[in-house]
Amino acid sequence: MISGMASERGSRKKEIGKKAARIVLSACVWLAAWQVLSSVVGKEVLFASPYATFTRLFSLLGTGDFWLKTLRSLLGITEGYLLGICGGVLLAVLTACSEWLYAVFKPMLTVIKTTPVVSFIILALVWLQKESVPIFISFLMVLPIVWANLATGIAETDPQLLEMARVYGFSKHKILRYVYFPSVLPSLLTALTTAIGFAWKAGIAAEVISTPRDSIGAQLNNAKVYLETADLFAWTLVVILLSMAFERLIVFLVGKISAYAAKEGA
Amino acid sequence: MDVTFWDVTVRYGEKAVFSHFTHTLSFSGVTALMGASGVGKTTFLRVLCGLEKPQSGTVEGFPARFTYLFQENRLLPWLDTLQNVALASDEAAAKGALEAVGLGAELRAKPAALSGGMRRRAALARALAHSSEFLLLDEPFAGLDECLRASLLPLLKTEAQRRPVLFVTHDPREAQSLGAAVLELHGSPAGL
Repeated sequence: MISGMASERGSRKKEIGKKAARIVLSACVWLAAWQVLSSVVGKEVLFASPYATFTRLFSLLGTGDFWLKTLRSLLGITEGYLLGICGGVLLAVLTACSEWLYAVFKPMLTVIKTTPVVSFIILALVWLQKESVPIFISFLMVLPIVWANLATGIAETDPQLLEMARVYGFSKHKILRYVYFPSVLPSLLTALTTAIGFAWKAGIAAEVISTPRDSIGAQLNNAKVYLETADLFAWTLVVILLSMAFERLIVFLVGKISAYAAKEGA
Repeated sequence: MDVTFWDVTVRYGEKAVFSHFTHTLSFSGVTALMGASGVGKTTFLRVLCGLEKPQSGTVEGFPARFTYLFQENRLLPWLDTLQNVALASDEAAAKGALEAVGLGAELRAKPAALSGGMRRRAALARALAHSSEFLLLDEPFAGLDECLRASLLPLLKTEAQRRPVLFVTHDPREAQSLGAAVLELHGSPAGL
């Protein structure tokens, strides 16, 4: 039995090693492609090389300013993301409860989905202080995703189970906890992970246009204005890494929620 | 318990399952509802307890608190057997009912881990554990073998001492062995 466990551990280590090797190989291929491309272009101002980008990134990492700007952007986008989730859940519940409310809010969903995000950013600049624009834009991108996914989940809740719950006298709380919540959980979790990328992309775009003080977007804008392409690449890399880390965190939390729900029976 | 169908009409598209159906039925003990497939037995049960509204007519005298074992098991797939049954009653009653149907060893199993027959028995246990004034069972022994049917039939007789039991069956021997009154639906639109 002990030897069996040891061999299982060994094969798991091997699998992890293989996965790491694949990631390293993939990273090397793309870094090499990046290097070749920048060499072909031959001008750092047009296409920064990996060396220039990483040198700039490491020099940024050593400054307090970098962490302040990153933290502010992270907090703003997270705030918009969380508000979008709350708004989406609220709207999904309201529109599931009343066809009238659905009819009232449905055009809003269509408008948000089809309007170019830049139009909202410009409008938000007129309506709000520039520090609030990225929060509002992230909120606006997340809201329809959560709303649409959750509304679909609620609508697709098995009517036979709902009828059973009524016949067996489940309280409203029990119907929510044991019938609706587990039914909509997969759609909600999909929405939460899908919305992260949108929140980051739109939030940073809003920062670039609104240039709030101490934000990643403002740095991207500065890099554009002063043609500091290595800065542009370095900050873009930061956004990508932050977005990936944020997504990993949400996937981790979602996994925990799913595991807890499965353990608790809902 | 007397229940009256007043001029009840139920249609599905062009097909009239019941047309101006008027009857007063007296329920006590066990009653078996029989009839050919598709004659309207499930519709009869659903209209009787108010789960389905007829296009016209009314049903009077049926209690508001009833238990219905659906033709489908309708177990919550994310809950285990005990949780499924306990949601309709309490844990002690749920354990008792599950033991009575022979699922005492499967309390923590989720529906997906049970066989078709076990799921049916879990649904039956939920109906038995749920307290109400009337027990409606739509083909309670569907998918169970002869031996299991024979062992479960006495449970209906015990239940009938607490509340009227109306169950749908295709097997006249089940009705006979319980000494059940028989309602037979026939024809189209259906009549008794």
